Amino acid sequence: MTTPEPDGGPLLSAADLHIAFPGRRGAPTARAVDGVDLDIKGGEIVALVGESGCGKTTLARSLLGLVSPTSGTVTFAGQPLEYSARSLKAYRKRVQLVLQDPSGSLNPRHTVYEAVAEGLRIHGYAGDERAAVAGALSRAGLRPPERFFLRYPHELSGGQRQRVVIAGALVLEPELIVADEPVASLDASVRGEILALLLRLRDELGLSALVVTHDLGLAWNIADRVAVMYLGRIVETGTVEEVLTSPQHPYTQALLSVLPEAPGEPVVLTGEPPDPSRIPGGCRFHVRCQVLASGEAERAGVAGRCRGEDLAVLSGGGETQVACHWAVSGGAP
Amino acid sequence: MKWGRVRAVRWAGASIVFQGAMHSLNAVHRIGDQVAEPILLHKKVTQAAARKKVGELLEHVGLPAARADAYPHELSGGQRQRVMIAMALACDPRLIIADEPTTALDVMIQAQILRLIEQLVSGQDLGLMMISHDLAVLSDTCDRLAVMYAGRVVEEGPATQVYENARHPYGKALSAAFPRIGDPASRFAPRGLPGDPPDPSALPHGLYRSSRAARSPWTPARRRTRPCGRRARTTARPASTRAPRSRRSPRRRPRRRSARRDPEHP
Repeated sequence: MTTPEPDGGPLLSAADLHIAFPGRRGAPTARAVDGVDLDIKGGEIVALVGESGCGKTTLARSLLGLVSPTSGTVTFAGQPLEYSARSLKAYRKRVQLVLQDPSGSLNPRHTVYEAVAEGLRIHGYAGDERAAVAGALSRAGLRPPERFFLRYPHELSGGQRQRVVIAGALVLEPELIVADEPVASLDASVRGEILALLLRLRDELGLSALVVTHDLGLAWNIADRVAVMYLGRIVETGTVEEVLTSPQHPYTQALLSVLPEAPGEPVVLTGEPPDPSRIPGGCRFHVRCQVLASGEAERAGVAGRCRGEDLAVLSGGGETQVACHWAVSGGAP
Repeated sequence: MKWGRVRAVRWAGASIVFQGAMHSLNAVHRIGDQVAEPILLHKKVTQAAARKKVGELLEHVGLPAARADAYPHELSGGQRQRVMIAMALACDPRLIIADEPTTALDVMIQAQILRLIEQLVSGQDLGLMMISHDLAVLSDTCDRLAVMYAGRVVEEGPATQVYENARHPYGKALSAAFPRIGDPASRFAPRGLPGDPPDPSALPHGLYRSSRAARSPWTPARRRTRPCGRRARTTARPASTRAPRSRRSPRRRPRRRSARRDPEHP
């Protein structure tokens, strides 16, 4: 189903994307996304991880055309995204969104059939609507589909509801799914099943996915590539094996160290992520950086650059990269 | 317990931290007033003394005392959860029940909140009962772990032992649901439990109490026929050679599943 690019280029690509929200009542502009390059190839699952408020959901929304970027471009299958209503409608047939909370994203007064068929009706599907809905439901693991047609969301369990949301996204046969915290509100025993479903869809349909999450275990479970985002910018990216088993950026190291089963002393960063309307100068992480605070960066001779010199935007391709003066200078283990 | 006694003990003797701090706090009252409410109800104190206590409590959970004037929407998710914890501590209870206190929070804020809870429990000699589906978090924070399935405790034991060596198939499935990063077995292999949780109004018979067991790859075949309600205890005795004493006892008293921190190992 995925149309591979003739030159093997990415399916979806963001180039130097900036999204700023004007401050209210004279407050400074919030730079939610502050220079991001990100590529997603056909059939690839990319995990975007970071703390709450780091801009990962804004980035995902702009990739879907729900927020238009302040500057920079989103390119899908080689074509830059246009923001006219007509071209966005065509685009949304090919790229679909799965939201975090299935109870909130389903209309309680629509049956499962209506919820899944809504996309078909909007896009004027000419074929057999009933068969398409049944196909999408059974692909999402709700079998036999006819049994679920007339159910209302309140009659379903949390996992079933999330499957209905995924079926609604699948029914238009998209090439890419953007899933924003797809399992955050689900029980542990259901979590694995939904993740296995996303993996199976990739294998069977060649579906690409961008999974936005703060759960590093989820990235380890299903993603090919991971991008770690901090305060509007991607600070480390690469294959899951490389980034999660030997993290280079102090922020990624801290995120991994606070997982309950992680070895060694946890590095608990204090406070909330800083305000995107007041991004600090120099490296944007230097205020909370444990490497700078412990004097490690001083010894490596990069402390001055950490405080005063901003880092270049990482390219969106597949190679492993890190935006950190200390790690680039060879200070990281 | 009589109604009057329940009212006297509620919040003063035992309090609860709810999951969704944004829904549990009243959106139209300042957080300081909400934290002060149980103090004014349970203790004979003046408004000013209650305000002072609120300031102390907020500082105690890592918020500036001046934030007492803030409304819930002005706080982040982690800060709201801190307010919930301050509220639970307001009347110096002996037991705190934390119902999924960190489920909606990201990993870094989760680590901050868990560290705070651990400090409070070891510092004030509180009992803590934590309810969660995340066995990794529980085994890290608690001393004892009880796994509940379809209305009954099916496994109970020291936390690390239950997490790492669960004996009951459901306990095994739960601890396998959260992958260990770096473990090649869980790479591209998310594990869950097939089927849906059983309907509590129509519980099937059998150890697993549902068709879930029969389909579950974690249920050893020989166990499928065993009657329900037995605890696969993670102590020395395997479940199959259980002492007849427990069978003779007419009714087992429910255990309090509080995880009290050992003061020697904070």
